[in-house]
Amino acid sequence: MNVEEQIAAITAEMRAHSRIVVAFSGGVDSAVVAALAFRAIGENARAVTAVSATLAGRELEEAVLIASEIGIPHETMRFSELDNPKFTENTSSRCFFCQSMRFDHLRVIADRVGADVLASGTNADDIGDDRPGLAAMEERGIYQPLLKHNISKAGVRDFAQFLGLSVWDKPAAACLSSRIPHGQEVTYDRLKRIELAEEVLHGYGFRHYRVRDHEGLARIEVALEELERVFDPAILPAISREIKSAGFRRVAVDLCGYRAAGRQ
Amino acid sequence: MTSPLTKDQIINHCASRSVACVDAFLDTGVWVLKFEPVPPPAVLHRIGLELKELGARWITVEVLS
Repeated sequence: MNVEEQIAAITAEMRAHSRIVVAFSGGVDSAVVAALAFRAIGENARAVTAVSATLAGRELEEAVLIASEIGIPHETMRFSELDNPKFTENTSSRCFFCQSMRFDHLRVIADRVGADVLASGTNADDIGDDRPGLAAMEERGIYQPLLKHNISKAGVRDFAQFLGLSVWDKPAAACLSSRIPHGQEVTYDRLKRIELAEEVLHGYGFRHYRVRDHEGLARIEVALEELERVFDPAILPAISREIKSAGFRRVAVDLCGYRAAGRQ
Repeated sequence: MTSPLTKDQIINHCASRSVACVDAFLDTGVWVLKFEPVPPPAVLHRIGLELKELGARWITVEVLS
């Protein structure tokens, strides 16, 4: 099937539902699901962004913009993973506890608006990684149309381009707690300094980056194509200064470059 | 936190690539290296991959402000 046919199949499936709530981060995956749901059932589809300390402020701003671009009704819901010690102790099951809380809160909104389906942007490529968060979604019967129709990340980007979404090439963002190695506690202060440090890299024009927090050592990862630039002596000392101002005691650049969490 | 590599192994490995690593230490599980002079990024990347192969989980170069 080509992109148009795949989109037609998914929207036809979505039309079987009277109301759909989409867990909406503003990333390309959930933006595509939101756009498909809006295409299928119009204003009976609703995008909801779960706002917490693990979501960077920039991501929330972009979620608002992309929802507006799609035209889908959008609202935010606040919760705090930091209230759950099973989350903050940061074991390899951290994402399970986070997603459990997130979708339990989203379910309340789904019930309020009479939605029979709660949808997420999980795609077929997510399955290969170690993602305990997926188990939390499966336990809760979350509708995962991209996964169900075996749409890969590249396929999602094709969908986004076809649908005219500006986020079609947006880099993956991931939850800020993924920057803290397992076993080291997730705290509000750590999440804030990570967010600020990544804003520094964003401000210098980097596109694919992470700042990993090793108890105050900022380990900068940038994509291989950006490695040359991060070592530019005209900007690197300033980057280091600004990241230290965010609350880190030492700044170091990872020689291997950016790797997605779970592929470390 | 321990590492299967030692400081001397890292310095010697860099020397075998004609790169002068003047210090290497572990900080919360992260190897932090210092070079004099700092080699080009492509060389740093290659050394990083090689040291990872040898057992270093996270291998970095310190950035001074």
